[in-house]
Amino acid sequence: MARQTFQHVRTDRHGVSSRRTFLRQVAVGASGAAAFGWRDALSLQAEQLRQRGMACIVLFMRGAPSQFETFDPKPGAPTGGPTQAIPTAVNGIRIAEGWEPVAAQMNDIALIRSLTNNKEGNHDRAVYQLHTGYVQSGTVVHPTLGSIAAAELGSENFDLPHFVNIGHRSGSIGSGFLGMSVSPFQLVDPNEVPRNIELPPEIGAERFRRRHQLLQGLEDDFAAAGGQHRVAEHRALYRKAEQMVLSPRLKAFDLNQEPDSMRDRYGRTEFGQGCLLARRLVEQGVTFVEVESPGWDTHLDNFNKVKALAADVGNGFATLIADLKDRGMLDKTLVVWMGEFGRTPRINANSGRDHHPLSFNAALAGGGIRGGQVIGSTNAEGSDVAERPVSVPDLFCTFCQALQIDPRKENISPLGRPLTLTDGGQAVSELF
Amino acid sequence: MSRNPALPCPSLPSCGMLLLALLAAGVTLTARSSQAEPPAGKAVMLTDDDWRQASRQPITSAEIDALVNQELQARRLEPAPLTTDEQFLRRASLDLTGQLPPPATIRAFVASEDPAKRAQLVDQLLDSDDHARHWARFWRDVVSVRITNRRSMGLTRSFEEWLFEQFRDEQSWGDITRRIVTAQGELRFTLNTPTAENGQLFFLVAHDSDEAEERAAETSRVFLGIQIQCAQCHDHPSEPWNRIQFHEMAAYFSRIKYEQLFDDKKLAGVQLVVTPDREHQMVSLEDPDSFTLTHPRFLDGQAPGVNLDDQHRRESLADLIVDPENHWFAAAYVNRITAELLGQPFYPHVDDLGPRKEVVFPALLTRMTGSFRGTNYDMKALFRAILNSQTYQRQIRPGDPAGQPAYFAAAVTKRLRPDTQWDSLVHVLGKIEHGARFHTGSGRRFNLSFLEGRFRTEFDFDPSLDEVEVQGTIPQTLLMMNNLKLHQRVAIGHTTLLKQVLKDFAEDGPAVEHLYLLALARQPTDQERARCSDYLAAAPTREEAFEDLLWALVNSTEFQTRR
Repeated sequence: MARQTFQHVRTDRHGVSSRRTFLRQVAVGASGAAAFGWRDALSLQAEQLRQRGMACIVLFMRGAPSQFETFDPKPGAPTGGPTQAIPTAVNGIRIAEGWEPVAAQMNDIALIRSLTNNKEGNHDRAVYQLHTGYVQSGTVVHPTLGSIAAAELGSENFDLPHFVNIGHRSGSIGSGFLGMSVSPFQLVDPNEVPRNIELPPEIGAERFRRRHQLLQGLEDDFAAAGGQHRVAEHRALYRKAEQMVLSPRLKAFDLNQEPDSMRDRYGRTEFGQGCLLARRLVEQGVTFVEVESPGWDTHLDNFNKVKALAADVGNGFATLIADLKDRGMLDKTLVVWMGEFGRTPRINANSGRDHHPLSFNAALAGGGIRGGQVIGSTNAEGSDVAERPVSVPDLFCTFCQALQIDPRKENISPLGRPLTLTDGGQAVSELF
Repeated sequence: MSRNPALPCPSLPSCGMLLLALLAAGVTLTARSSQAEPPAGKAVMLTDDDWRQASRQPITSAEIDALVNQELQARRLEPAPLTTDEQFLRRASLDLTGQLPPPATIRAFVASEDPAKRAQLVDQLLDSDDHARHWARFWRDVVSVRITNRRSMGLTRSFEEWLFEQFRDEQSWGDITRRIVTAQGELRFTLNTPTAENGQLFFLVAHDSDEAEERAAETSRVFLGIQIQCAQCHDHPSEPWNRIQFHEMAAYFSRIKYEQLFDDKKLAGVQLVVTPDREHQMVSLEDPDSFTLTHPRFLDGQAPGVNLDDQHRRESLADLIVDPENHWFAAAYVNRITAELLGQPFYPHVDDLGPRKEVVFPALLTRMTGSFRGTNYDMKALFRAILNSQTYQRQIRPGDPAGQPAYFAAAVTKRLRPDTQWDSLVHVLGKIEHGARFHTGSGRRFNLSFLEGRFRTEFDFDPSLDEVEVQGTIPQTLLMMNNLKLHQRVAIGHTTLLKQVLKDFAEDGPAVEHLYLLALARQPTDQERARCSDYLAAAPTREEAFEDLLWALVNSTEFQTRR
């Protein structure tokens, strides 16, 4: 049985593997895993390949989504614009129209309406802050949440990247001082299998390994002459890439393996398919996936633009939660919807809203988060937090608690400075 | 990234605490009393007098070495040995032209007994078109990796072509900067033929929102090395910049606006449109509905007057930027070029200078800056002085800890620019594909239908980042390992390099040597020869073994590193 399975793995279009790799993977798995077919073994391992089993999917609304047109509508207020509020599955919680699929999942979702980000209204700096939990500084490059989660939760033996970023187009927020092993693997289009992951024809796994050994041996002289740090980084990269190329899990990246009905359910957009890919990757043991939705910087024509974005993102977000729940994965998968800040109560001359870091919102589900509740509130105009402000460090402590990571754990920066995972803060205890 | 350009936003309280370099600020703010020469052996803040008193005579290579050695002694640092001819040839070729020397050139250079051969090589490389191309690409990237206007991305190539002509024609850095800051008119998409026409406009059409602020911020960062949005505004209330100064800088750009350009309703390019009466508005921090009109004023307090039209505003800005009395302009260039060539900037970052920042090797910085000012920003003279110095010609060495400055005592390894890496691949493997590498017309800098464009995109990195911030990635590695087109060029086919090499060299030893010269521009070491020979002996066929060796050479760390 095992041998047959092995043959199957070898011939698979996207998952060339070898007996040795396969056996090693099995050995990592639970006792008795060898008794299962490889498919079972792989799915069994997904949780074990993440310490404590926790995973996280962040849906990032790049450009800063308007809180008024998402989960903190102010119908009737002069600042509310034409946006109406709709009821949700939870009595008393109302969100903006256009988010009906999300409204239907409200029992699993907790909203935070009182986020405030230290007044950082510049996109790049706020994106940095909402990814790392720290204010950007010139002296140290902080790791992004995905890299922290990868470092804390990912198993060393895992053969895919721990952290995959889907749809990210510009700029980069990476692993900072945590280094290459937990940096994000970036995929622009979820519909395409990542490029260059297949071995070239006539290069079998054995020859591929021989080449690698030759390469490793030939690097010694340059390393000894003064290139040691570069060679070490290069070797780690090649080791990681080699593992990935030979991994049977690669098929997680291939959305064609999903039934059409499932693909339709998520929506045939880059974001929708990105959410589906995120679920597939987490299912295979990836610790952290970020799916980016661009276009939220609505200085112009805010209301129409958000309407279009909401139709796409709302469906993907809601389907993801429902699908994770159906598969019994939601309890161990934290899903976060957020952007880098909010938008002004004032509607500008172009029917747009400008940058507003004083108050904005986020939505959380899964990972032990108690859904069906709202944390904090803004004042009647939506210009400022009225109750229970939640700072960015508070938010990051909350992520850590959901992922069962100690937010006070210290990493040592390259300059020898101890840095806690979060910049102080307290988890929002009401959420758990 | 720790130092993305912080984009100023009118509704942004945090911007309020930032900003602006007064040219005069250093005098009053610095802690150190003025003296003839900054002290050796430690990092200091420079005073205005330090900048003013430095000689403006052209600096010589010997002077660079003397100033470096003085510091090394004060710091008790032992300099590394000088490079071999092979090492020097590869380094100088990559640094000056982004191209690897061919095997015949390497052999001839090593064999030559002319004591002036290194200096001659430097002159020859400096005068080549490849030199102009390499540095045009470098500055193209300095500007274009930060571009936020997707529609202008396809115009990157025009900017490169324009810069290429400027460098080729030996225009000074001052004149180039002036033309960029005062550019006007339109910039059109071209199909596959590069054109330099009005390519200088690229800089000003790189942003399409918060335009005046972005232009002010980038002008200041790129040409003056001054980050007018202080990266740590909350932590450094004592910084000399203030909010109004930033907006006064933005006011220089208040009368130009980015617009798309159409031919028969078809997007044909982008243009700058002048709106004659517009003034810059600084939005109030307390009330987003109210604002203050601001008028142009340079960092040093000089103002061109309130009612100047756009053209005179920006000309007056260019005058102030390139004025030899403005040492930041020269210092920013010197700091950046020193980091590229000698492996380390004087300031902690290449584009973050200012009166409150500490510098290392202060006497060398002020002297090189003085020379650059005194020679009317002659770039080649500066390159020549650096390349012919012993300081440039030192080896890398083992044992230097990662991420620690080398203080010019040894050479520093550096990742090659993406263009250089691609050209190195072509140098080794021959032409890889036919096609255009640039994308014209919309949202990308390179044409992703071609491997060349994907390669450049994948390996791209911001030249303003610190070396330690640039990391390799898995997708880069996968491309080098597995890409089908590269694989076909490595494999022994009808037309590949390897087929010819194995035909030309019947013996394995010389064939290995040739591949090393081609890929790494050096002879293999004895240990490497032995390893190759073992591998050849064990492999199923000679062909397969050489394919694997070639694969290993182009996949090696050294291949993508300047050493």
